[in-house]
Amino acid sequence: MKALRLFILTAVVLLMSRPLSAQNVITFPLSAWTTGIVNMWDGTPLEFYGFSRGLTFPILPGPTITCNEGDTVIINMRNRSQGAHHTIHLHGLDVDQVNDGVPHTSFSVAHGDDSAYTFVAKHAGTYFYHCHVLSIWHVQLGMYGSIIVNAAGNANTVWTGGPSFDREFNWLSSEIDKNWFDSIPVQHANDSTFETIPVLRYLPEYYLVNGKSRQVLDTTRSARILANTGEKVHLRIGNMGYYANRIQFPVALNAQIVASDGRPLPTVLDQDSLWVFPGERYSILLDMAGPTQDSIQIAWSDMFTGQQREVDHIPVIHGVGIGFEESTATELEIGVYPQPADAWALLSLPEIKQSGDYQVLDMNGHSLLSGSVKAGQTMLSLPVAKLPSGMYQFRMQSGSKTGQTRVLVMH
Amino acid sequence: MRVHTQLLFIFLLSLLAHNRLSGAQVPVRLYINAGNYQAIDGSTLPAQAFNHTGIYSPENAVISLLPGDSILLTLINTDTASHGFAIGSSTVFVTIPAGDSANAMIPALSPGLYIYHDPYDYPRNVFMGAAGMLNVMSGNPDHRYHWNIHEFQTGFNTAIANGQVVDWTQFYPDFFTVNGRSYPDTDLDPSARLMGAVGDTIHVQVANTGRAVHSMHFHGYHFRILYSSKSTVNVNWIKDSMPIYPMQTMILELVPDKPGMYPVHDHNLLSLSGGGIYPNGLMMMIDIQ
Repeated sequence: MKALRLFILTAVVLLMSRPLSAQNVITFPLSAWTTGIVNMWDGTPLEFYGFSRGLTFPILPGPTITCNEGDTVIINMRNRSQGAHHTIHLHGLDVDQVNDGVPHTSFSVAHGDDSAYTFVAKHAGTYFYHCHVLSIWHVQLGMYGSIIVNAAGNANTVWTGGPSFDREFNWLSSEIDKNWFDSIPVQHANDSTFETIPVLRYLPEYYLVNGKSRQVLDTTRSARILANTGEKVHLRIGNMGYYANRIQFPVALNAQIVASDGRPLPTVLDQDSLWVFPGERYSILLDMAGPTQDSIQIAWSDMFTGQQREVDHIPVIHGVGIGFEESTATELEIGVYPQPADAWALLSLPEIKQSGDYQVLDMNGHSLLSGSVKAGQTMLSLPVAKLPSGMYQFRMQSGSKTGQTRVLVMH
Repeated sequence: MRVHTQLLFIFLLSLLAHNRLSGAQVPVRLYINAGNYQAIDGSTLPAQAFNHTGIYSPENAVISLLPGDSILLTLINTDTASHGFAIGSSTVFVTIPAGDSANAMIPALSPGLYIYHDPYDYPRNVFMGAAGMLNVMSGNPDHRYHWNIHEFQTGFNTAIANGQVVDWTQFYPDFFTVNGRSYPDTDLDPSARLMGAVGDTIHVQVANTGRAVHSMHFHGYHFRILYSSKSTVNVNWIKDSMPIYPMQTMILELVPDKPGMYPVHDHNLLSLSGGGIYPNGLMMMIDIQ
């Protein structure tokens, strides 16, 4: 009897100690680098600063951090940047001062050091993280990514108790001025006592959504919207660039602007165009209706003159039947190091759930190397010593997911 | 008679300063001055401003009124060129020849935040800096602060001062100011540095008197848009980043939920420079105890 009472008491204590809702602690390993290589749409390779998940190679933009409302998120930040200090500013998450990532009000992380940034995801919404050390440079050079806070319980609603959707997409807009990347005067001393730095005149050549532009943006799955006819799509749009974005939706999509900066709007806006300025994020609901193949227009304008500098169109495709579930998956992000490679090219791969195949093609489409990738394999060494100097295409497929990148070989 | 006039003037001033009843006729004396703006890097460029004295300062005078107040305005042009005065897009328009003065009666305005400016030869004199804030106050916040956001481009200022034409499609400012100062000097401006305690109601009156759109981002806190001269659509939006267009005014409400020291800055990070040096320009600090 005594044992039974003890058992009941223990059970009650255990039950009471459980959280009332599914609030998790999520850890996310994020490494800062100055050694990224990314190819632009015209084949131009750019060395960039950036973030990677764990110790793989950096990608542009950095990996998306996803959690649910109510979660506690711990970002374990490693600085592997060969000199520069870095921080993580949790843009829009209203964290306490020490986790704000501003060097002169909190702290910065020196090369070789590790540190943790913590936030509680209080409001479902779209946020950013970015380095706040010499931010005019480090942001331009690629040190940014998205933080997505889903509704509590990962419900398919824009916010907890908010309007529902069937599937969602995230667009992170930015620009690149190649001149800034070529000249990088950010070889500042390996301490945090630097105070000022010269800046260049800004005139971007590349206008990016999720790190892609022009035909790469149009032909890859990095941003395109694919859904079943009749579905409701939740589109998140954020601007990490220095230009203004004007978004133009096809009328048939019945665009509704429902939230911004992690807060619901007091009134839903039914409008087919939207300005998104630097630092802002918006949630838009779209009806998959009308023409089955259309596009959303995104334009970039200079904030000083108001002049439009670039226009791009991102496909919106909807249809009836199967095939959209898998095809809406994010394109596989692949990093290459070093660029150019001589004997070996090391590739960082995303974690894939099923084994896949890869091919290395020359510019005429001839397959020169091929092999398989195991499920969970995140690194691949390519023997390129016998390949003539030149540009090659690396393609990978795992189930219905595909990825590709360029590999530059120089002996 | 002279004593009576002086007494009346002192009486009006005292009403303006302390617990004045609304609906008063408020005397305001503004000097239109041309001078040299000393930039954060020590360089100087020709500029203009509306000041409370005849000595040029890049910080335009702020006019604060209660609802129902009218203005008995005296304008003194100390410059060698003609100037004007207007409030927002209202019909009040005064022209003052060089070295002359003028008086005007401005009837009561609805509560809100306005830009008064020099519409003469628009937008040249406004670009040179002749634009300030007029606040018809409402609400009862614990603190009120103001940011008059502006830009200068050395070559344009010099050209306009010399009577030359500028090509606005080539606008690329090199200095960005708040109340006539650039970061880190904005941190020394008690009107720009947001100070308060947890739970206080803080109102920030923001006017963009420049030519560029700015996208101000708050660290640490979201704010509520109380007032926007451009559109009522954005009123009551809760944001951490918001654009402000040229000649637009906004009033933002901040109720801090935690202590801390955080920056507020333009997220067009190009505006965080001055004379080609970062950090500078459009950044202020929030200091909550």
